[in-house]
Amino acid sequence: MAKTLVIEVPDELEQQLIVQAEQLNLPIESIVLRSITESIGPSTPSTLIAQATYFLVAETFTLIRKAQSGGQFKIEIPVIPTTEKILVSLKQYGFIVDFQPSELHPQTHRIVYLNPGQPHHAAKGEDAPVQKPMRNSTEVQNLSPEVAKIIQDLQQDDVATRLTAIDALRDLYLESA
Amino acid sequence: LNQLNQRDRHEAIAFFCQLVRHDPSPKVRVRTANALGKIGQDSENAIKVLFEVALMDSDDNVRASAISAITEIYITQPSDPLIDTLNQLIQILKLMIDKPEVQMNFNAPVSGVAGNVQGNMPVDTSEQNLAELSTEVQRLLTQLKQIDSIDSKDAELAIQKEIQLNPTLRNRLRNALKEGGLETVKVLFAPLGIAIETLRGWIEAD
Repeated sequence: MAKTLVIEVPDELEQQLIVQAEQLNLPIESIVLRSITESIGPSTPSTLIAQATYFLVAETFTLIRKAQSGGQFKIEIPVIPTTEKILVSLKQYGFIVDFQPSELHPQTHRIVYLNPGQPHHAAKGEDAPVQKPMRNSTEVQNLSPEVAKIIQDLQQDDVATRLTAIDALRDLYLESA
Repeated sequence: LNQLNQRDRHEAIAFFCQLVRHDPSPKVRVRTANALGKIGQDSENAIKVLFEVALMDSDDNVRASAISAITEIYITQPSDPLIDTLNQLIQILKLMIDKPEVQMNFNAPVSGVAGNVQGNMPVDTSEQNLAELSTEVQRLLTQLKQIDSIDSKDAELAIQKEIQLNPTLRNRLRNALKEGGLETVKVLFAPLGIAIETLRGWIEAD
């Protein structure tokens, strides 16, 4: 099923579309449709790289988590530059003890030595009662009024209110960056 | 334009770090992890907390969101050489061939340099058939070829080198060819213009 959209484009953009359409011997509508598809579609090159990277980052954390919960003290994992950087940070923060190139595949795999003192499961959700972080009035008095209000909303019992407040604080932070 | 002062910004990150660790609602923890992926890149504490959540939260969706946030933070760091990007894609191939037991669910938004990938994308390699894996790898390799600055000859040399240096990959490919996977292997490497006979030569060279 297709929808018909009517959009207004600035004169300058129209001229660019006309030129490109003539070069490719395609109607302007096809050029616009292709541009939209490339910008939001799932198969654009950059999103695929992001997807592939996410897959491998997830693989790194999943393997480490499962190894820790299984009582292993070392594990071999494949690395890419991004996950190698993450391994450096994991070591720096004490989540793993060390890592070194695999003897069998020194370029592509690392032996990761796990931290035996690292708990493999946090007390959350069904496992233990947890409390929302709280701030008293003194702690928020030096904040700007808008942020103080959001911080108050983040402490409300209603989940929807907290979700809305998270978005509001994130947007405010990004706007002021 | 709203302007947050330094204290506001510090408090925003600090409160989010506490929320993502301690809020009783997984929905709130998911949303907070996603927010930290957007605003936490300069905070060591935020990254450390996301690591903790990615490894230890009891909720699958919260862990997935923390991993997505970590990916977003690290993928925006200075880019790696193009040849490393190529190797990255080869790793995907190796993961799929070497570790069919890997199970991963993509339920969280994945933010990238050119937009967002969001939705439910279950990837259970224990259940996916080879054709589906081939399609995915083909897409990745095709994407590689579309990157203007990667020279196809560089890509070919890098794959040849990878096969030479990685006996596991070489054996897997050799077995795939022997066991009737010729078409699959062809599909995987065709996008880079690598002929099957060329590939066979690399695989058999010792």
